[in-house]
Amino acid sequence: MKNIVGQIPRGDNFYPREYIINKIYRRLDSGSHIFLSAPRRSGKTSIMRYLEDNPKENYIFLYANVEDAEEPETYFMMLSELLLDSNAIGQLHRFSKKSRNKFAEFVDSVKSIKVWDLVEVHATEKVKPKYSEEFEKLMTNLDGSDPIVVLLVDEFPIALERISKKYGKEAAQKFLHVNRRIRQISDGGIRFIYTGSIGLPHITKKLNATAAVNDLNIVEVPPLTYKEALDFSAKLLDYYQVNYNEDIIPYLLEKLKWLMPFYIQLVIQMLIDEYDLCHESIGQKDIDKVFEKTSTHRNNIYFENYYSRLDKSLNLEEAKLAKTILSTIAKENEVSVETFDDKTAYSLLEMLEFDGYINSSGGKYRFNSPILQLWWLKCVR
Amino acid sequence: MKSTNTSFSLRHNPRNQSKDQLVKGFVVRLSIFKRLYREIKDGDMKYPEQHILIEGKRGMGKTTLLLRLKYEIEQDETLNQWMIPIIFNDEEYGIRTLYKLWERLVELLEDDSSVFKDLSYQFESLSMQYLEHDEYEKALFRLLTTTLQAKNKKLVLFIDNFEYIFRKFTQGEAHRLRKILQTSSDIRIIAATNTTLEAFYDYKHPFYQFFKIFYLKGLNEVEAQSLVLKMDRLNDGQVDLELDKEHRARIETMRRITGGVIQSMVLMFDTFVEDKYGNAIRDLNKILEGISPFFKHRMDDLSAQQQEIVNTIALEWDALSAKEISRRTRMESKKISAQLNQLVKNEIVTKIKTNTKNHLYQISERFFNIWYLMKHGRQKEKQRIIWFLKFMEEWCGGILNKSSNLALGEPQAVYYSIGNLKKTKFILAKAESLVFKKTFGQILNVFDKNKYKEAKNHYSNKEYSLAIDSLEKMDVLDALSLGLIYWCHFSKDEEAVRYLQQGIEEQNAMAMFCLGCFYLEKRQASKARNYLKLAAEHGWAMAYNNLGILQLVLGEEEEGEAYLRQAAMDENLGMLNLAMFYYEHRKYRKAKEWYLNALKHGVLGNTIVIGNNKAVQQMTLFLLAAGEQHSLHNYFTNKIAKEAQIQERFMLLWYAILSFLKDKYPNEHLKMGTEFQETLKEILAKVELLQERI
Repeated sequence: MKNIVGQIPRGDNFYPREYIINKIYRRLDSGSHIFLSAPRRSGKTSIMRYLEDNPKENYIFLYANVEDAEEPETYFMMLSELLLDSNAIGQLHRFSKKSRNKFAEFVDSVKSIKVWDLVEVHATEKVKPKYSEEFEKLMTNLDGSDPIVVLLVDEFPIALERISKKYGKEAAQKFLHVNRRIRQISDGGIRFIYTGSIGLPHITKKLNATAAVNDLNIVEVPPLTYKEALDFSAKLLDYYQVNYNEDIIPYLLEKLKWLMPFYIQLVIQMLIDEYDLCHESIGQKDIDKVFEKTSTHRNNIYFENYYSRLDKSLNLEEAKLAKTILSTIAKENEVSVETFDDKTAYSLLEMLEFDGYINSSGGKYRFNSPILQLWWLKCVR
Repeated sequence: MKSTNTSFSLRHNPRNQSKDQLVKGFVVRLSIFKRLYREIKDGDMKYPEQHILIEGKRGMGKTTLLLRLKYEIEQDETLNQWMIPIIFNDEEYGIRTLYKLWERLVELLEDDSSVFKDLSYQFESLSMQYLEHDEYEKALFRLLTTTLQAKNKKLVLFIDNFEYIFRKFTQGEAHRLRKILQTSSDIRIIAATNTTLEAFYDYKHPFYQFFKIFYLKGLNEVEAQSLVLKMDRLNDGQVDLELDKEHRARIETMRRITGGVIQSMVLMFDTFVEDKYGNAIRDLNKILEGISPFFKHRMDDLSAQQQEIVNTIALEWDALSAKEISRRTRMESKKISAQLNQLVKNEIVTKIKTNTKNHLYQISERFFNIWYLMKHGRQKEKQRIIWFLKFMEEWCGGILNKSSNLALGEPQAVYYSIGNLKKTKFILAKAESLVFKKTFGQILNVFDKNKYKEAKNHYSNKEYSLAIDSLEKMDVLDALSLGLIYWCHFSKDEEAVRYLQQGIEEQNAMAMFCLGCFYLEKRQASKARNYLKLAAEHGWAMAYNNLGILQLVLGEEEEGEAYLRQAAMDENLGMLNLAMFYYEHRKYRKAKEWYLNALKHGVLGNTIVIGNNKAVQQMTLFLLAAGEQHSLHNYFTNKIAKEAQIQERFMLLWYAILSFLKDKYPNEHLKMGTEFQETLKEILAKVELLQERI
């Protein structure tokens, strides 16, 4: 299994995470629309693509990245084209007659929109048909007994943010409500799984439109389980034919604590580099060395960003308090939830947790990543 | 000079080399090449592939690596059937939007492969059809991918200086490009950048941690040595380098100073071709000459205010606070802050956080700083580099040779290495035969300069006999001086002995001492001992010092120690040698006592001592190991040390002391440049070893 960073691992390079996959199917089976939630680089998109590449029987998954949409119509055009180009159309025989008719109408309408600007039909048609309307029409009355088409909408919050930026808050609210209406009328025929590299709740809160997404079932993408992380690490090291002592993976995981694939990959990549340099079996000392390296010099810019984005997204007072909170947790290793009891601190802790800095369990706050914690201790003054 | 630069850039620009030349000359970076090639070869591009970014400073070999990968794909018959490698130029000024990237790609594709001949015509027609840039870009990309798919081809784009292209893209284009790269399996990017792009680490940026990054670090010691050797072989052994200790120390010194930049190592090889027996200072000058146009260009690109700030920071060499920069430039601190922010953003200057509000700033590329000091610094600033080089050359040589030294007192300076007598363990550790030589000029300086003008002129015209004639005719030049001139400068032993003995007849104790030293050099122990004893009896205290060392060399340790103790009564050099004696004999308590005594008696003002890097090194390291960092700090900062410029002469030792005093001076050690780091680490490791021993 290749160590793929940034790009979406597909096929043999995807590490199947059964727990989360099964959870998603359970929610879909119960008729839910889903928002996959996790910090960036947690593997949300690769989970989507895995679903698309390996659908369970009676499911058709269609993936669309909508991050380059900055108007509602473009967004619906993307989804419409996705349906049009997809194998869902090729599998129409699996659908009921009623649904087949609906699809046929939809295909014709979308085609007519596509040629609208090219062929001069304006004289005969009064109003240019809209992708959003055609899409909405398709949603209604699709038969619930058909195969379930799941639209995997990646980077939905970015599209929303761009729409808001270009057309204003109201347009963004309207867009959210159209989407909600579509979900409501889909009646189980078509399901949506949204995700994105920025948090949807955070943006909808800013738009005062949390109600427009409260029908979504939020599925958190958790870190790997210890067993998964053991297996995942071994597979990566084996692919690059790295010799290592048996005890290093548990040692590495113990040090990492937060078993998000990205952090494991980051350290494994450095171990591969180390091995490549000296061709000597990797031992615990090498792990220590790599950890030391991750929190220094070159990775400064990476961690520096964790620091500087507090200044960018918070006001002066809040940023100062957030830094104090993080420094305290970094120093104390874990801090009781009651330690910070004022209202501002509470909302900051919520944000810090959402943005992947810290987690809370058992009534204690901890840094997610010991690497970040080490850097914070060393470099933040 | 200009022609040298031109020829350098022509010879060493990888794009000017033929495919064959480049492949043959690709002798380092083999490991990363293999890994990257494996990444490329293993990716069947069925799904969108991992995109790669190679990050490394100027001269680290990025362009060569990209070209080497391209050539390898071209000659790989399993890959070249379906994969087309395309390499963009160094500077692609025309690409300022995403659609321009596709347009340029098609131009390069057409140039490279006849299969895509008509694509640019089709692109032109799309340009007429789509007036909106976004729509046009999408249409271009659609056409490109459908054409690629129709022809069963995939593209690997090698983009050098990717940051220049990428920075011009809008946020919208960045989103679009990310989507393309995440969803299209038709193209794969292998890009290279000089700088770390903040976007790739910005949580909110579309390209946050998107690329798999490979770093091109500076060459390590083995790689640098191997590069120079391989270059020699490729040049048919023009230099016939054996890489003896001296050469290895020269290469290692330059590697550390330049940060292991390949380009500088290549220039280093050129200095070997021209000057096989040169030294670090000549090597550095040669490299700086070659690199000058690149650095000059960097300075020229800055605004006037930025130039002044960079000038101030560069001349300091160590990091400076904004407050200090403001004071020295007399610019308002607001302006300084704004300009510094810009300089930090452009990676000209690096900000070092301190525990106060006054952060420190230093030049990011350390070799640029060295170039600036040598090019624009005054003599005293250049001198710091020379001291640093000398220290490094000896340190690197020392690491390779593992030798140590005892200092011998000589008339007015210099130390003596006893070399091959092989009687004691000190001696056995010595390899090189250093012979005390005074310069003609130094001898003349003893006397009135004007009177010896004629002799000097002869000397500078290399008319040595005439110079001697002129000197002999002058009454004021005593027998001792003539003896020294004959010995040290003309190697005429008989005359030297004759004049020195004449001096002895005149009861000149210094002449006795000098003749003793003469016989030491000639390895005539009993004669040496006799004259040194005579000098000692006539009150020349330094003679005890040399007698002590002579006896040690001869294995008479008790006597040697006794003489050194006597020398230590009057001479701080004697104290230092006594300390070294105890140190070598593992009598660490006494060693510490005498080292501190020597320091207390101003040994750091002794020109013989400060000319001896190794002695000062050994003392500093030992005292650090013995927990005497505070004493060292005091002695390195007192009046004597200031006058002798001890901190400047021994910057690495000074930083080692500061590293032990982080609690007291938390920000001082932060001022150090990265060119010191590797050596400082070795120094601290040595101290740690010593701590265990004592």
